[in-house]
Amino acid sequence: MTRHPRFPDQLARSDRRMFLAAGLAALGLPRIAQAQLAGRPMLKITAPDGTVTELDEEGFARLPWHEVTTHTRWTDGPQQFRGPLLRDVLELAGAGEGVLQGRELRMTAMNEFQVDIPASDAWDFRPILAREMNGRTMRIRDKGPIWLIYPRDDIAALQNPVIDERWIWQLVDITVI
Amino acid sequence: MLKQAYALAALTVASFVALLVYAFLNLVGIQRELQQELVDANLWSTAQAERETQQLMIALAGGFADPANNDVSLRFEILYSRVALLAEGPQLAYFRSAGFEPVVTEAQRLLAELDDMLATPLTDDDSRSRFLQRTAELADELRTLSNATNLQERTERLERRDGQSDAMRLLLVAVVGIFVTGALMAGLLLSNIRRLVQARTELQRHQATLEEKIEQRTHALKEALEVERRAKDVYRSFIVTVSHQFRTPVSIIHMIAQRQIRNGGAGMTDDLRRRFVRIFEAAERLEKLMGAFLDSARIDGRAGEASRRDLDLGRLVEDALDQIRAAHPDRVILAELDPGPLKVEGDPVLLEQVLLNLLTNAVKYSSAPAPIHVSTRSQGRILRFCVRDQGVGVPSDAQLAIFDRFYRAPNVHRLPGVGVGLSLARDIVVQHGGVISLTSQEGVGSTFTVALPGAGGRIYDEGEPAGDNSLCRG
Repeated sequence: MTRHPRFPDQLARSDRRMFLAAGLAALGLPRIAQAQLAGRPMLKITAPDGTVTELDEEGFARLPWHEVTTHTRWTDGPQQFRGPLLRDVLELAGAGEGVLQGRELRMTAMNEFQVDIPASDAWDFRPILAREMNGRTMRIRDKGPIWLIYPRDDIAALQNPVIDERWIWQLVDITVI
Repeated sequence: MLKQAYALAALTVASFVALLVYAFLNLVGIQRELQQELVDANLWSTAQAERETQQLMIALAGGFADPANNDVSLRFEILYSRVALLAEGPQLAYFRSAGFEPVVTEAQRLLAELDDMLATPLTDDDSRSRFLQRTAELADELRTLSNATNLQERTERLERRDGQSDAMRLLLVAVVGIFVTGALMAGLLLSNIRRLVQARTELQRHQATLEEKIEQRTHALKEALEVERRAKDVYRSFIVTVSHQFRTPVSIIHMIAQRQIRNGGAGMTDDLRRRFVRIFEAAERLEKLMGAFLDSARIDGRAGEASRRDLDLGRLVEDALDQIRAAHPDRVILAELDPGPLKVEGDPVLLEQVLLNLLTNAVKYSSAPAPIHVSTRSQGRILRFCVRDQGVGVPSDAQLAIFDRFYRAPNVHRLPGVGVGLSLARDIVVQHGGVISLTSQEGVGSTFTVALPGAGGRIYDEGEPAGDNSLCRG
């Protein structure tokens, strides 16, 4: 597992007044609506051969969705998630099980958080790329638009902290490495 | 003592095992805590939230010359998700337990305020300035939370480490304790086994020696017995030889004396005649004496090889009485005999000898007209034969020795006798599994009782007291 904070720590300690002064001018802009975010490709997948596939909301909706009800490490009680299987998304991007044999998937979130997961997870555990949580489309502030959900309650092997680290949310990029 | 030692050892091992289990459970608890890794995750979450505040400020600082650049909005959304994460589920529970809930609430309040402010365009300097101010405050809160979480996490980790090393130490103590106790017990057991083996070896050696000793003793006894038997034979043959050798000359003396008395004629003076009578009487006594010796030797020799057969004691008694009555017609013998057959297994010659001996004694040691009482009784499986006289009796201090060979009571020395009759009688009765006994009072009389086991019985099995002859009295 790898964590890649983009900014070095010293930035946090530098004088934030500089940012305050510089940011004053920018705040005149209207708030960007949620709808505007939706227009952009939601997920970019890079296959081993370098092929890049971009999925937007519609492309996502066209895939068969599955439902997973499970506990998570960050919430209380069972939660219901819906979305396409990671497997289906990978296959759509030309990265089938055979191609991904022994490979890893580098998952990147909006905040540049990255985690590498074994590609075999997609077939072994059938995690979904959840778009909905408890019947509501996830916004960025709800860990959306996409949260990788493992069927934790159904498979005992998934109930451990190592696997919990793979549950990346605000997922925007999958690169096969 | 040994039992107590074992109990102590068992107790020690048990307490060490309890300690081991306790330490192990502690370790398992710590392990489980580590497995959950909640603290670590919370530190990460607060750090991420803090980082996102900085990202937002960078976005703000980067300026928004291009209205299409929605970086600020995106960053705010991400920050929102981060703070929301802190305020929900297990995260909030953790901050609550650590006492940081007010900080989280304050962060949430600031976030909501910022969210409200973003709902309308921030056109004037005042509102922009306020937005920045609130963002900076949010950053402060999150930094506080991050620091506190960090500190808390470190403290907890240290505590956990302490707990872990405590548990490890306990575990070590328990294991070492069990090992040492086990080693001690094993040593104890080993030494016990060694001692046991030693004891067994010693015992075996002792047993071997004992057997050898017994064999030696048995051999010595056998030899002694053989020597005695040989001595007895020699003695008996000596008696027999001597008696035989004496018999003929004594007979000649006896015969000559008798002839001289009978055929002496007138030429014989009274004095000479008296002297011959004395020679005659002395020779007769001597003959009788030797006869008794020979009888004794004969019976003694026979006693070793008694021939057993089924007999009727009643018949034997009657025969003996006939003989005695014929020999001593002047004596009154009152017989009170059991009418039934008195079956006994024994040697008829030897038993008759006993009866005759007792009857002769009664005649010899009492005087007419005092009667002699003879009785037989069958009592259970015991047959009794009693002879009671009203003669001189046996002095009480002589009663114990009366059955010894060659013993003669002091009050009968003037009467002829050798002191073998009762001894022989005793031997024969004992050989037949019976008991002979005497009750007597000097000057009043004596009662001799022979108790014999009936055919197939044994007298001692019946619990017969040796000296009980109460039934023979009167």
